[in-house]
Amino acid sequence: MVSLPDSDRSSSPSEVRSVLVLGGGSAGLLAALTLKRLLPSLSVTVVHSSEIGVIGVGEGTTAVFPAHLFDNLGISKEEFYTEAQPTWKQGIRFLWGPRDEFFYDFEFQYDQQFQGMQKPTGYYARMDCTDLSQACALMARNMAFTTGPLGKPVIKGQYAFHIENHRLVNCLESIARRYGVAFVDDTLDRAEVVAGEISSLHFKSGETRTADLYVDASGFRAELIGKALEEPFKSFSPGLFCDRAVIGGWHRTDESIHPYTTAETMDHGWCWQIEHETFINRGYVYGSAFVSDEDAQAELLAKNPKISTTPRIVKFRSGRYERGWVGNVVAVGNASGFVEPLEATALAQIIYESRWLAESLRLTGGKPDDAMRASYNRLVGIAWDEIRDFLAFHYKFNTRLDTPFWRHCREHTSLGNYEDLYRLYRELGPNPAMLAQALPARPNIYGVEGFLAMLVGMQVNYDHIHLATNDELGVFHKHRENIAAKAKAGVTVRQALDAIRRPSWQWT
Amino acid sequence: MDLKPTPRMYPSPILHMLVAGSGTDALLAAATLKRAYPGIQVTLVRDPAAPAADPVGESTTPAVLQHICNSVGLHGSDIHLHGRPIWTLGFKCLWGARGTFYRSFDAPYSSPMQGFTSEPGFLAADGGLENCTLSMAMMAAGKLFPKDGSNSFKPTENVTGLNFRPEPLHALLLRACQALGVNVRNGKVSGFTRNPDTLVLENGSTVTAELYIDATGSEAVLAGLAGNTEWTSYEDACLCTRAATVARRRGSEPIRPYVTLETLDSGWRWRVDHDDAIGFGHAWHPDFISEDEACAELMTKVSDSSLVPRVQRWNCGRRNQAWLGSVVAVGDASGFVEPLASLRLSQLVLQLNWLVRVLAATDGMPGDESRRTYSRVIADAWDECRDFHAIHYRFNQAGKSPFWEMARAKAMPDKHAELVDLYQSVGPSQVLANCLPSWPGFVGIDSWLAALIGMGVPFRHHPVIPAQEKKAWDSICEQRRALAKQGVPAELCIGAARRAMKPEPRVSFP
Repeated sequence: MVSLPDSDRSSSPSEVRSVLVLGGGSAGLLAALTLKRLLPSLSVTVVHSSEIGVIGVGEGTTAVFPAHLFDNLGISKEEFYTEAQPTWKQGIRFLWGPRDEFFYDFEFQYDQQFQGMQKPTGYYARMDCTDLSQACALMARNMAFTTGPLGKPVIKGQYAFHIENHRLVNCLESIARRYGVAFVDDTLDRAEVVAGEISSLHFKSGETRTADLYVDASGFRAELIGKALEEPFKSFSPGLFCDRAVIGGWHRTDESIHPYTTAETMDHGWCWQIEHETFINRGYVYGSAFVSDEDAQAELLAKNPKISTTPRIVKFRSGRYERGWVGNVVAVGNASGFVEPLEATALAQIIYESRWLAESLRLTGGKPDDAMRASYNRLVGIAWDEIRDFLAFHYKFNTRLDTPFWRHCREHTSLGNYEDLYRLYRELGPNPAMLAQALPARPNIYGVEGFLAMLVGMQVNYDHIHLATNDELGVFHKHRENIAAKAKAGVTVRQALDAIRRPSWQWT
Repeated sequence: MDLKPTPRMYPSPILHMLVAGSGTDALLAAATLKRAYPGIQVTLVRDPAAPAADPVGESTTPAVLQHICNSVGLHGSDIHLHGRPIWTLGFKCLWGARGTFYRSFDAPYSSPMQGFTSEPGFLAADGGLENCTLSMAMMAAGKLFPKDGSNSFKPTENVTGLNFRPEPLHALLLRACQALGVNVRNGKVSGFTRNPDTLVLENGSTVTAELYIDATGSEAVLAGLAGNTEWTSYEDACLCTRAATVARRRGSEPIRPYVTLETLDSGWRWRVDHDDAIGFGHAWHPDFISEDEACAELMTKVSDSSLVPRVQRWNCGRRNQAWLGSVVAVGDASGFVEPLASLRLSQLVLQLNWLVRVLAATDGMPGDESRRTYSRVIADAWDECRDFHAIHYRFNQAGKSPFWEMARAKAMPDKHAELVDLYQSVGPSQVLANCLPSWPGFVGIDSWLAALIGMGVPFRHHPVIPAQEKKAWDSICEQRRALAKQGVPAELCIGAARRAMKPEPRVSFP
């Protein structure tokens, strides 16, 4: 081997052998499970507190979640479906902008060009934007999956889940235990900090615990990254104006289980609808500067008379810590940052953080140094900022209601790092190859596709309109009809759930 | 009736494109644009009195050959019979901590190898570089292409660049322009007037077009006349500002299937082989050697005392906005870096391809934002090039002189600092692709890794390579070495190829 004078200025770091995960919610469990599965020689302990509850809202995921669980971590589908009892979603139905509705999926609607067409699909979708992808065609017909041989649902592709939080937590915990993650029930008393690193954690039981690396999964409390290490918090308030949610739900009776999360424009914010098998969960996210808690609750109840649970209010602040990895602490989930669940990004972001953490440890042989931490922090930081700006597009261009809240959003929302992308779209229209050049940073998670789904979905105007000939439109509609035909013959969520519960069902 | 114009200005469609320039940049630009848009009038304005191109010639990367075939539409036989290039597999670098390394165009360090858990970069970095790709093994053995049967060879043109001498290349491209229907006229640009944008020639005549392509080289005559002069200098990364070049006739020595880059005390030297000539260049920093000394040092490579070196002054950097208003600066007019990586024509090709793409995406009516996007893409490519050159100075441990001490201290990657920092931590992992700010990048992750590995830049974390993988890798390398030993030398390949080619032009020549 050749040798150069080693340019390493930092003291040689010791190897990370033990990891303490503070917090037993979905963030802590996913981080622990990911680390243990990808780096089996690590000793991983989750310290969770039965004194501190979890927020416990029903969760919607993106397609990253099943891919990570089943493909990266190799978790058994039988077990997951039995324990977590998820339902499927193919995307989000937006009651948003001037159209009655449009769909956001995890496939490609606009970052594609149908064969024989001159332009990418977005140019032809100014009026009618349905049936551009299989997932959207399915959602529009209330179908979960296409039908395969023997009438079985084809549970493949870019699908995602709705999962009740307590079931998800229980399921992940039992899987994590089986793979060798240790669990302790204790509550943090205080953290001891020496030279910008955690030296030990003192717990209410009197125990003191140490580890080579601490994962802060303590939620909004951010016990380690925020309280102990005092990392600065970067607020997203210039782009996102909501700071509270009022949540309620009811037991499903005769409603069909929709294969999507619904996001509905409300007077002072928006409302989600998450489809569990036996329960429907709704949450109204609003800006407290625009409406009182009482009035928000009243609006939620008036529009959802079936709500049977006592509505509860959750306060939040959108933003992220400047760095997610400081010294020997890595924050994941709400402890590293938070945005409202408009695009169901929370679990995907936890997975992104956990995977990069595992990858960082693997690459450095368990001895992460400043260069690795700097890369991690940049990657995770731009991922948060991308989500912030992605959500900003939702607010900036939603022309559905003319209330003070929505007027304020349209006037004052900053598009952040994606201003250039919008300016190019404004001139050129939905051209994904060109718009990709206006993306501010790589790697980029939602891609041009995500932004185009919102821009075209909300019918945001652009100058360079493509006037398609009738022949062109004929080819375009032919493609859509093919997609639609497959969707019409699809199976509903109910039918798919029944199918996987038959004894004869086999996961491939 | 209200006939006020609409408040928003719509760009007018491009019906006529004018390319100004006399060298490769202009010829390739005109041919590419005309082939992409046969229905649009393309005029090439050449200055017959322009100084002749440097006979030293230049080397290119595979992208250029692909462009000339696919986007200009020239058949391989035309290229070889009229352009008379020779194939090059990459670089032999007398450079870096290893002292010598080869860098080939077939270095897939970023793709996993079947059957291996270790990434190829680590196998290469720890196992020696000579045989870690077929092209490297070929270069090390002094051969060009692998043998195919007993009496034939396999032209692996997908991983070769071409070395061109300017006269035959210009003749080839000029004929392509004529065949494609480019309107070629003589004239010297002397002015540019507005409303409408109009080009004024020295003889007083004027030409108008909707789009002007400034391919006049470093002078950037048209961009200058149009007021586009803002420039970002790379003087802190490309440290040699002077160069001298000379081409001599080839004697009986073999054709090297690579470009040689050699560390010198005051800078570096390059050698580009051609079929009947060899080009040499010496790049230096004027604070460390005088022009006379540098030229004298260069002439030691040339036994012919009748030859006179040509001295160049380099102003490395890029135009801030390659496309401003109706004028696009391409090639040397848009930017310049030293020829350390043979990327000059690849840059031009990138620019022409993007120009074609922007015109297609806007149906020939590019607006301000589309132009800005084009300029950003080109600026990013130049900046990546800048950083790629910077690491060649920063990590050249082969240079022991005061110049190289200065160079190692001064040259810093800028937008790619994270990539270089992380490399020094985790080594040649494909994960580094995430650190390319404009992924997949113009230089690309494979070339970055190849250069960092080749220069022997140390990294702190070495993954354990399983013994059986090490063994398997060694045996693959040994196979490559044996294959290369059987390979066919460049003279034979070039001679055989030219003899075998029948002129069957895809673009029929007049």
